[in-house]
Amino acid sequence: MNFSLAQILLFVAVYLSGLFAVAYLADRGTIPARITKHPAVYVLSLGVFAGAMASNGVIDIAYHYGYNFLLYYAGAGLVFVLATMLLFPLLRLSRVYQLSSLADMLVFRFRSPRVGAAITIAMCLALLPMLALQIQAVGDSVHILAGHDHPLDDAGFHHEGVALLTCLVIVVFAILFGTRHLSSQDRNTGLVTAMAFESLVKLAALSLLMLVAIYGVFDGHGDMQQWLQQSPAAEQQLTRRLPLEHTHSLMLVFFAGAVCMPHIFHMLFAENTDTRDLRSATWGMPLYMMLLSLPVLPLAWAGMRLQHDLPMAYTGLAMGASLASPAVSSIAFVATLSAASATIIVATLALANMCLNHLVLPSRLLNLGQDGSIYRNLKWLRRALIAVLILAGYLFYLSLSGRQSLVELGLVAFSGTLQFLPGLVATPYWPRANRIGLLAGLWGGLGFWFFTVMLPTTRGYLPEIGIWFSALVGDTENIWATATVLALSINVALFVVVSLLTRTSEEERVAAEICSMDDLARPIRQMLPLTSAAEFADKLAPALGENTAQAELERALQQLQFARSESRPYALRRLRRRIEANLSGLLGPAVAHNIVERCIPIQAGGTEDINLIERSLDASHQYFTGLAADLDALRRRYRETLDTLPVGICSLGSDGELIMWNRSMQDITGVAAADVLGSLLSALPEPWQTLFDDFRNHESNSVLKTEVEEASSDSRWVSLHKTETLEGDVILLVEDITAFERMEEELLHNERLASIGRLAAGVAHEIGNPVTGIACLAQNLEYAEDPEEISSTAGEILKQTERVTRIVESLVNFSHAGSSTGELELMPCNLADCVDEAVHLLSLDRDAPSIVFRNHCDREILVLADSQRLLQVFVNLLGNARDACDETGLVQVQSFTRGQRVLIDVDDNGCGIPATLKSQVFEPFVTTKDPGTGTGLGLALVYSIMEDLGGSIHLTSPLQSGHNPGTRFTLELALANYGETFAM
Amino acid sequence: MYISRTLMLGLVLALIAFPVLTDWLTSDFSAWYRPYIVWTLLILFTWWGNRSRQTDEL
Repeated sequence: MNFSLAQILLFVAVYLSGLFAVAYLADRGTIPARITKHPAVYVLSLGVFAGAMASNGVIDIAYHYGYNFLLYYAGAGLVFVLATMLLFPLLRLSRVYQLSSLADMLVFRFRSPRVGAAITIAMCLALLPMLALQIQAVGDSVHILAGHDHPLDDAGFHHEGVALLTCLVIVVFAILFGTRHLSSQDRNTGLVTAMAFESLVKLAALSLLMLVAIYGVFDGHGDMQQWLQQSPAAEQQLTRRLPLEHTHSLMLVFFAGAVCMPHIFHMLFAENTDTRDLRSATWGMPLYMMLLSLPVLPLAWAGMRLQHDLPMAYTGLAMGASLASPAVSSIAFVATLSAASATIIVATLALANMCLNHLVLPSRLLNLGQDGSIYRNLKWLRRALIAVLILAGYLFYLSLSGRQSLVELGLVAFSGTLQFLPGLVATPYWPRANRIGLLAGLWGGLGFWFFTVMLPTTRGYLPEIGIWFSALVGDTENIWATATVLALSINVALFVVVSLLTRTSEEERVAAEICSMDDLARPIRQMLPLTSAAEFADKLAPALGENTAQAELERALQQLQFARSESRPYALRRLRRRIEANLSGLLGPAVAHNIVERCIPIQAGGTEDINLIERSLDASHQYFTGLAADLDALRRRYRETLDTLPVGICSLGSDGELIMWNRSMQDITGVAAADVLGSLLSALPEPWQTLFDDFRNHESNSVLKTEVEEASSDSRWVSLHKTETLEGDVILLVEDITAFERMEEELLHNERLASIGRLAAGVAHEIGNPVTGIACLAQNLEYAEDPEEISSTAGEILKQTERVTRIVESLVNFSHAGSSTGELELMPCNLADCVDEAVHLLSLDRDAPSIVFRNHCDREILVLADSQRLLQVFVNLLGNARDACDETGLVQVQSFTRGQRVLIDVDDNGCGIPATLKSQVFEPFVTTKDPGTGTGLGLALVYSIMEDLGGSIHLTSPLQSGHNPGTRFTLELALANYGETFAM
Repeated sequence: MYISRTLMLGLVLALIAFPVLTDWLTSDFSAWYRPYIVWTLLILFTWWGNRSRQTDEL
């Protein structure tokens, strides 16, 4: 039974409308997301690989070459079984850098727009036979359905017209559902769901045809088995062994086709939104291919049984005609239509993207800087390219005039795409490869393929090289296989040799490291000529137009969760990379790279980006095995050690960028690592910024003690150390010594209280005398009448009162000294007066041995000090000297000026200090006195005060030989004049 | 190179078993289902090798 053209057209329209409906409902969300986002939908959408070759061509292969038809499915399935070796590394690159096509990927790796243009042109050329194959399958099917016995019988207008109409509907579909999202990172849900639907339809139709073959053509499975046993022709064909090179060539071309062909590449990478989907595809796709291959043998056997006149590829239609069943014919036609339309849609979509990104945009046909129109222009350009490509495929099909079988056309296209495999494999695995090698190999391999495979098959024309080659091979039947292998060999040889002999540019080397899965990427920390994220829009505006630049900046900021005010160099670098990746999804990597390089150039120099390397290592640690895993574990251990050290560690790069900020640093400063890592030192909050900046430029490598005043809390004391690495990084160590300082202060206060306690008895006695005197004088006053006597007595009382006041003042002064935690006020102090005051205070202690104090200091000398603190120093030093002396003791204080410094010697003729204790006397709790008489804090206090005053103290002992060797403490202070005030 | 050990082991085994396997596949003409048995085992092997990854680890 035959169909009229109107019926066929209606059939095509109904089927494609169904496809439209599925895509439309998926895009609108009517089909729930749990279905459209399900991994099974992604896996089924990959079935786009199985075009008319799978629905028709493979039956022809099975008929002629038996089991060898499985190579088609096995080659494609193997790509997914070995996904971790090739697909996952490529998916990583594709997702991170927004590379949606093979040309994008190779341009990103080889950093050359020429590579993109070459790949695109070559791919269009190689894909023309593939598009023609799909159109021919539909056209021939229409021809057969219309009642012609053989497609070559009548190459009239009718079936070609239906094929053209089908192409036009497909153009509309591709335009409506394939260009919905401009950026390659957004999934075209409608397209993916529709492709999955087509895969299901294809599988269901072929499975139904298998059942028809088994139960319609044969009388069930048993009959088929019996027929097989009794049919020597079937046995011969099923077990026919191809020459080894033919088998390998077939396997290789189908393997390459399953990853290099633009439609499968697009579905695999551009439409993937989750790695887990690809992981499901590693077993799901081989399973789908196996299910799809199950009907092939029964259909081939049914064809042999029926012995129909049609080409074996159209056995389904032959079964329909033989059984006089329109339903069977319709199912066979649906299988062909679903397979062909899916491949045409996605292949042209992917090719259109490639043409746009690598031919149209680099040639500057579109003015990107024109504001507000980029997105619209890109969309229309893409649509126009889809239409042009589908129509080019149709014209190519027309030019063939049906001379070639589907298998021949398929093999030409597959062997052409095989030539892209070396470049693709080199992307993650061979960092030494360069663009010159790639182009040389590609042109060599493709040139040979064109003259020995493409032209002879599609044009029937054998150029001189082809004649020479076929004469050399001798076996004309296997010329395809030999030519394919030879073309690949030429390609690989040229690629390797030229890559090794020519220089790889620096840009390519960096891209190779990014792409390489073998080497650790060594990203460089480069500086950008920008200070905030907002400036990106201004820089990009000349190239993209103001509105587009703003929109792209907002998109990148939103993806990275950064604010417009972001100024960290690390964040700005990430933002630059993100904008380039987003533009790559929109305009292709070549144009995107060119725009970003031109608008936001990177300053020369830079060092390794340790943060990024660490992040990469952390992200991929589960992949490390053996020695690499051990090294990573070691790295983590050292990292943890550095992080948990109770000392703050901060590492600054040579450009001032903060590379490390450990937990103690966070505790000390209250600044989180996430907020400052990757920032410049200037981004640190005060007072830490000034402190670290000053210390970094400080000539000394350590500051033992410095006070840090924070607005939010009490002041802290820290000690700082620094060291410089060979690479020029500065490592700062910050130790929080606040607790130690507070304890020391407390101890010193206790020492002062102890001194006051010791002085108390003497003070009481000293005050007692004038008080007694005042009492007597007051009694006398009571009876005195003579005004002169009254006046004299009152004067005496006042004198005694002044004495008491002076004693009390001295004591109060002493007790206050050092207790204040406020700012130390340095001012000129009279040295001699200070020594006198100290001697006076000590003389109050009646229990102490009475020795002679001599103050030889120059009365005119002024030192820069805090008078109360200096008094405390002398009280301690003179008190110690007195305690060291016997009754004949003599303590002398003398001063000298040396330049702007004043040296003060405090000498005694006491017992001296043992040599073993000399190095420790300034440490707390070290004393030469008997237990209970000294706290051991006096000299520690003196040392601390002298440091605060900006002076120093040195010890010399013994001064002489003999019984009383004596001791000398030499103080050094700055000389001062009246009128100067200094603050520390 | 991030290649799972299961996959490497599988490849080595496949290489070793390849001659025996092809002989077995083509020894009995009527047992046309044999390639599908091997294929099913391969699918199970691949599923097993990829079963543990639960996160989008790119």
